[in-house]
Amino acid sequence: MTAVLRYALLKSWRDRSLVAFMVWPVLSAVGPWTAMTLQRHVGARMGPSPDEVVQISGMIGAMTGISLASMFAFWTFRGEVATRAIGAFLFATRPLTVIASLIVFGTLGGLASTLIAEGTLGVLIGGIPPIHLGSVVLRVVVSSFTGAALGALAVTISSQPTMMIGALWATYGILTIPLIVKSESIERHVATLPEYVYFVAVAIMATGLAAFLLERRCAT
Amino acid sequence: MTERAIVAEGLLKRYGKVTALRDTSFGITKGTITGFIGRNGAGKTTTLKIVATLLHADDGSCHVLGEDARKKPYAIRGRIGFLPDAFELPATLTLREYLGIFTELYGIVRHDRARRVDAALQLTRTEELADRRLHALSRGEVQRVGLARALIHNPELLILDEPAAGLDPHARVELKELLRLLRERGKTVFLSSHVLADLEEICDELVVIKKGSVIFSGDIAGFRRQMRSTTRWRVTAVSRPVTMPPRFHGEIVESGPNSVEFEGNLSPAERAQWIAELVAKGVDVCEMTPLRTTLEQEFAKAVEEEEEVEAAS
Repeated sequence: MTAVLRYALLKSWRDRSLVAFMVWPVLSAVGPWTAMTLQRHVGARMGPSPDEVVQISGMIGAMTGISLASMFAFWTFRGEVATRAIGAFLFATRPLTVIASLIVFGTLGGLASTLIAEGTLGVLIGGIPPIHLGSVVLRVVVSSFTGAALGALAVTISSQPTMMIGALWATYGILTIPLIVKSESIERHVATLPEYVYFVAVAIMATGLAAFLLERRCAT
Repeated sequence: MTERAIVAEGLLKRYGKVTALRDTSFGITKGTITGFIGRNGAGKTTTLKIVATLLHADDGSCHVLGEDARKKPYAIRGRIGFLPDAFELPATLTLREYLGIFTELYGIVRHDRARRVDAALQLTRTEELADRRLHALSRGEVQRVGLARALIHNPELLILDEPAAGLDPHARVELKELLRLLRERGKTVFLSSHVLADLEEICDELVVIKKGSVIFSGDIAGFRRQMRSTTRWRVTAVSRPVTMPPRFHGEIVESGPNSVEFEGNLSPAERAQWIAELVAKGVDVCEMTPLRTTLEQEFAKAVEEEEEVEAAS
């Protein structure tokens, strides 16, 4: 697995997709914070409090980070899947290892970009954002894992770039089902153990299916 | 008894309504270079993919290095090197990094990895590319890089799909040298190619496929025998016309003022007799040369004969 991760890291670092993806959640978090903060400074007294602004911005950053996990998993080996160059890996290792590595890479990417976004907000407000870091990290890790698995599944179904939209919609769909079932807004929602189990179960199924499809794609 | 690296029996493969392979059977002897020839769409790539365990046959069996390709694909993959007809390389990685990743993937122990990479670079003459990123490579360089990757884990069997396609004459010579070297080291090579002259030069055995069916599997001499191959002989005199004894079976295909080209199988005794008769007649014979038919001609003949049989039936 480390070899596939090293390959993914080297490749995405050198083609600059890693940096481009990492910057995105930071901009997603800092953008709304800057806009709302400036709005308060120019005299608007209505709207969210400074703490709420940071919380909303942090949440947007985390959501973007999770989306990014899915995009990372989709994009990193998209070229290799499209050209069947990934077949060379399947002579050296099993498809499940390739897919699992891709998901780990996506999950780590999602988590890292979320932490960078939260850290940037912390620097801007001059303190720690008012969030419970432990629960945020757990939610981001599990959600990124699910998102990355769905991204990996999407690329094995079709490596057309537009399929990334499918990967993102699948991720949002899966992650918002508990909110819809409970009729809760995302700000108030606290994830429960069954929800984590559901996210992980979806990720495991997507992983298995992606590995199966990867093997099939290399045969054609 | 010769050991077989590949034994395919009764392979059947359908893609929807199209039958790509039907009752395809052949065997590849260990330690040989075997050429796989057939027209475009004859089923070569499908067969190679089944042998490489990437594809499963709908029926029939395929054993590679003693293992069942359907039951133990991963055990086989670790022991073979496969070079597909077209493949992409990661443009942002250097060759050394790329091969290094594969040494790790193949589970080669850490202290042995650099040595393996160097050996593969040396074998495929890609040392000068080692620290260059894998973009803007010529077709020949891409093929050599692909071969280096396929050889990195020291496989017992090498499966190459059209390795000579798009190579210039110099690169083709280098490829042939490399394949001979691999054979000397005890490797088995199974390769498809359209460059039949190259195959004739380096192959020990041939598998000929037509419309999904193997029409020949064996050594090149056997293929010629099966094709009832005749040899063309050129007899040349210095100044006088050459005549042919009427009892010989065959035909004169070309005739010049002081030479003839005769197509037929002549025994050494018949050849000696012919020369003696010419000399007795005062013909100043200076040359009797066999002009062998090429593999390309034999292949075309094989395909034509099969088509004639089909048309007749």
